Amino acid sequence: MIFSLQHVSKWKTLHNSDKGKKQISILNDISIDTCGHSIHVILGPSGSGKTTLLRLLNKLESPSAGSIFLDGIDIATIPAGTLRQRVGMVLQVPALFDGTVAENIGYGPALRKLKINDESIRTLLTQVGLADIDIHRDVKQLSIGQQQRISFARALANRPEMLLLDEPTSALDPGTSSRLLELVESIHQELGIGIIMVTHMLQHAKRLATSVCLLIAGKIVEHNQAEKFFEHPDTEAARQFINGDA
Amino acid sequence: MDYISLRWNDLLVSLLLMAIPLAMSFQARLGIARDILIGTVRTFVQLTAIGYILTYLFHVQKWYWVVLMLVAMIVIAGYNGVKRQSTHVPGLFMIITGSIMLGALVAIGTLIVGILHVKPWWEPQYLIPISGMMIANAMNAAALAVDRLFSEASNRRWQVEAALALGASPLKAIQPSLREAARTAMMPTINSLMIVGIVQLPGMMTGQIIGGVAPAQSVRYQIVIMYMLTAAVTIACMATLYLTYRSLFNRDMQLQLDEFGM
Repeated sequence: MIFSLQHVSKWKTLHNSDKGKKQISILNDISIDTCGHSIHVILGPSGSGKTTLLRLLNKLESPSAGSIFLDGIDIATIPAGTLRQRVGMVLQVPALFDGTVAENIGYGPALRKLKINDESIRTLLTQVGLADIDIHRDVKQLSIGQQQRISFARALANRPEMLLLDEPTSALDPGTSSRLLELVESIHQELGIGIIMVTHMLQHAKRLATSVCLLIAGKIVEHNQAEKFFEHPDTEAARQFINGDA
Repeated sequence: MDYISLRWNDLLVSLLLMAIPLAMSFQARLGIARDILIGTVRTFVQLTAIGYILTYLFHVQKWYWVVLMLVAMIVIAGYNGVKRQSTHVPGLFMIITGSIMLGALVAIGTLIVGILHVKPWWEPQYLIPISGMMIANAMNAAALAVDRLFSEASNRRWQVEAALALGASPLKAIQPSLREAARTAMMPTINSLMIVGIVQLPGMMTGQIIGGVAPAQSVRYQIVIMYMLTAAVTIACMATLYLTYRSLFNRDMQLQLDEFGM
């Protein structure tokens, strides 16, 4: 599964009660191709447009200009529901629904009138490192780290061909973050799912990325293989970002 | 029917009582003295005007004047329902007005044709006051429902987007917010079903008793009205919600709270 972005720009209108409407540019003429089954990391400082870029890929937002292709097909022509089942997404916060662990994991399949059995739920929970959890437990009783793992399992229950991860560790402490990165690695290796992850954490990108795309102020500054990006970056801006000067 | 008629100077006595809230507002600096004054004048003007209009309607006995009055009541209710919103929603006036009309027509139609068997069906003595109650309650519920739907959608935006990201339709994704908005909007009506006759003696029943109607009869009227009100409120509230939630999403099933400055 390959995403190809061609001259994608995104601008938003901000409503300010004092100053009226104001238009701001979020992404500016982005053109990249993502690799199929690799871990593609979109790296950049806060406010650089990373999350917006990710949201464009499963149509939670639409580009203001340019086109996005999935395996050669313009995603504007793919129904949003179909695309979102193929391309799973895990948000910055777990955003679990009111109810039990099983109800949350069964949500996606239920949308397609499929019932996921308890055994399949336990398999998914094992894959996200929660083998011992009671599937009938209310999700409100779980820790934030457990909730984020459930949100991974919920996305995986849809059997996506690709996972989009929007700063999945942002609400977690360092220990839990590290375990979650292990989970991302294992999902990628064991399930063979391509991953596009957004992060502002350099060490997370270093640990996981096959390729890195550095986004600063809505523009792609560098797009390279991870090893090349970290060892011999092509641009001065990337060098500064890696050295913490940006 | 025996009842004590009121003269204009009797109203002056009740007006004196309005000095109490006014004085208290000044004393405690509540900042609502102006509203109390305006409210006092508006109550007098509006009710006096409707008194003359009803007298005229009862006198001329023409169905088209009665229908025109009903339409005016529904349109004004729709306008007021929109005016109460903090969020500007395109097309909301038509949605709220249409929903109020639907709820009121179903309830009033059943009541006039199916229960009271009023002849002619447009008899203003029955149609206008009963419609007023239905329309006012439906308006309150519809306005409250829209307001709550937008605040719920904003509070639950992560859950809504998580559901969309899993492939849910906008209706499925917004369902928890719709449920909460409907519950909130209908709660005052459900609460009055619980306390009517115990804590509260409704205005219509009280009015009938003062007007000389036997309490057993006025109670029956009230029971019917309460059930019809609940039906009108439920229909108006649900219709408003199901027609309004769509404006939160675009054709690509994207939540667009930004469009509403949220």
